[in-house]
Amino acid sequence: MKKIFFTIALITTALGCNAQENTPKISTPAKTNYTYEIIVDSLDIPWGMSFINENDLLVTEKSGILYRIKNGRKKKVRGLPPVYVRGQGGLLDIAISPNYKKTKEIYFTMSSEIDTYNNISLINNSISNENLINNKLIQKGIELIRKEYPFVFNETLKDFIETFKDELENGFDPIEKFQLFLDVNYYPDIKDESDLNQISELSGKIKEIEISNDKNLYEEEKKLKNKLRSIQKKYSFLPQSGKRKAKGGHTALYKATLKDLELKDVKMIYKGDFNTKKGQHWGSRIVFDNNNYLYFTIGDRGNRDVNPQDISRDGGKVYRLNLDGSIPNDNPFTGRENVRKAIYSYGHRNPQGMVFNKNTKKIWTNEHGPKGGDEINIIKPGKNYGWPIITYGINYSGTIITDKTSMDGMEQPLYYWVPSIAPSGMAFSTSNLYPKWKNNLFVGSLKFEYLERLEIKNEKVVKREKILESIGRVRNVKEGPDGYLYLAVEGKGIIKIIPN
Amino acid sequence: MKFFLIIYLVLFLNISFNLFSKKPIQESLLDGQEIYNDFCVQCHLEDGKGIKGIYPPLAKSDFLKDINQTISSIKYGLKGPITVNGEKYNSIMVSQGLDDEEISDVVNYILNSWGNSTNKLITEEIVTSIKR
Ligand code: HEC
Repeated sequence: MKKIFFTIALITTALGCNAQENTPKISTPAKTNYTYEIIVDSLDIPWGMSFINENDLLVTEKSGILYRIKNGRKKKVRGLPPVYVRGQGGLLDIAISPNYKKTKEIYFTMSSEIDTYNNISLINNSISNENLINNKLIQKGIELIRKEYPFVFNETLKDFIETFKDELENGFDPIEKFQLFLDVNYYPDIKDESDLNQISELSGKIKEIEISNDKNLYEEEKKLKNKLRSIQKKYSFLPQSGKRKAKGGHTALYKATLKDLELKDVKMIYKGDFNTKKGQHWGSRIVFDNNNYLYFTIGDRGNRDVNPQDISRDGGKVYRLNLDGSIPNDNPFTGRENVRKAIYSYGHRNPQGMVFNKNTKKIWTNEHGPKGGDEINIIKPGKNYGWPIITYGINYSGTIITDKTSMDGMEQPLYYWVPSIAPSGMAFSTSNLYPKWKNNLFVGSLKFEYLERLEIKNEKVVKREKILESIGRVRNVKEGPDGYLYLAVEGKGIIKIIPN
Repeated sequence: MKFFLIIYLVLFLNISFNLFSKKPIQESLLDGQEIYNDFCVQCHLEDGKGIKGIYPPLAKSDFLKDINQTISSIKYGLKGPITVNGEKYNSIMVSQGLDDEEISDVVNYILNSWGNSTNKLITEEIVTSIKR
């Protein structure tokens, strides 16, 4: 008995060792010389934020709302493409263009159900509301449809209006009609001509009986309906009492022009493939360097064994694009066949923090690892960051993913967190408002509900400290144009840190 | 377009049939487990015990006795103060965007795991009928 106990004790110590906090250990300052102020309240999951200026701020709610907040007053921005809210997905990051002052252009990422794989022409197709048609009833219908459905490219809508013009003008339910239109045009599974003919023949006969209102034909009608049903059964896509089934999605990057409280000229400029019903790991952050390149991230979409290491597929990547959405000629994989040429680095799990380091001119990211494997990385072109071949983490269930933490040809993180803090958002403090914090890195912790301050010397973390302990799930952190640090906290809102 | 009009005709005649047959419980539990591992496990954890004070437990949770409210909170989200097994929570769970069949599966799974049990089968139709 004693021996068994001893062995168990040994094993637990061994495991315990494994789970020991990575150094430097996080400290709680004995005395703080800052306070905070909630500058925007009542937000559920404020995912992305971008300052137009210090009194004018864009904030996304994961559930699919874009707010513009001017002098503390929060207003909804219209014209967003419909968001696929599923699991960790929804409306994600937002960033104003480096040329915003001139162009009023903004970028945002969201989970999208649009099947770009089967319809690549949808990329760069406008989905703005303008000038489609000038009938009021139809316009109203289109507005309703855009709210409910993700398939709202102008091409699709034009087609729809053409087919249903009469019905729409006569006040039929536009959603119901659009549902019908989608089901038939976008999931046309009926390939068998003879089935089609039978359906049409049976429907015709049934209609005749219905119109005749002849009681003697009821039995006959029932028989016909059963026969029709047996054919329909083969085609599950037919609308079923108005419900739509989840079909899966992936992360999409959009560009639009912001006109006061409305998005104009909305264009999808990148979309991950292949859509999947998985709810995890959509990324996503958007940043720019000072050469007008746009970087954004997509997580591994819950398929770690396939996506992150395969550069012919999306997911588990950092991407780089030109501001117009085109792919830079000198992207690391542009010369190769059968690759996603927008990829800048790969082997990531779920990067939800990214920032351009103005001092070193490099892109920094943080990513959610498995248990005990959250990382900070400096992104270099074409490099492989190892997931899931190497990692410092283990599965949430405690089982091992790999026994390797390093390998030739794969990058080491600048830092990894044990235990995981669930990092989201990332910013450097570059102003002189918090003298002791200058050039420190700040990372939100969803799990431990604080902001983490990291001092870094020669690309090594030398000190970690909790800021605003127990503030709530910190989803994002940004340095404002006024040099203050702003946090987005779930269930609370936007918080400004004020030095004493 | 010919093809489209035919289908349109069929539907216009209002011949709608319920094309679902009832899903057997074993199948629902398996699908529900997959949904749980994809959408719920990161908060309520593998053992369904959650994290005291932050994520309420599903294992032996007295909240689950009210099945309608359970379904509604997964379908539409849950926000504000609740008490689960005597412990207070005041937080937010957003809707995970599952369709009604997926919700019925995951509810069957949580009602029959970690020592929970019930003889009630939650069908897709039940979930559909639950309004906010
Ligand atoms: C991001 C974390 C998170 C995820 C993911 C999540 N929940 Fe929750 N859940 C919560 C929180 C927090 C509450 C309490 C909300 C409150 O205080 O009002 C809760 C409450 C509940 C409750 C009612 C209280 C109880 O414990 O009985 C049920 C049932 C539930 N969740 C089921 C689920 C199911 C099923 C899923 C997956 C489809 C899921 N949750 C996913 C965080 C989460």
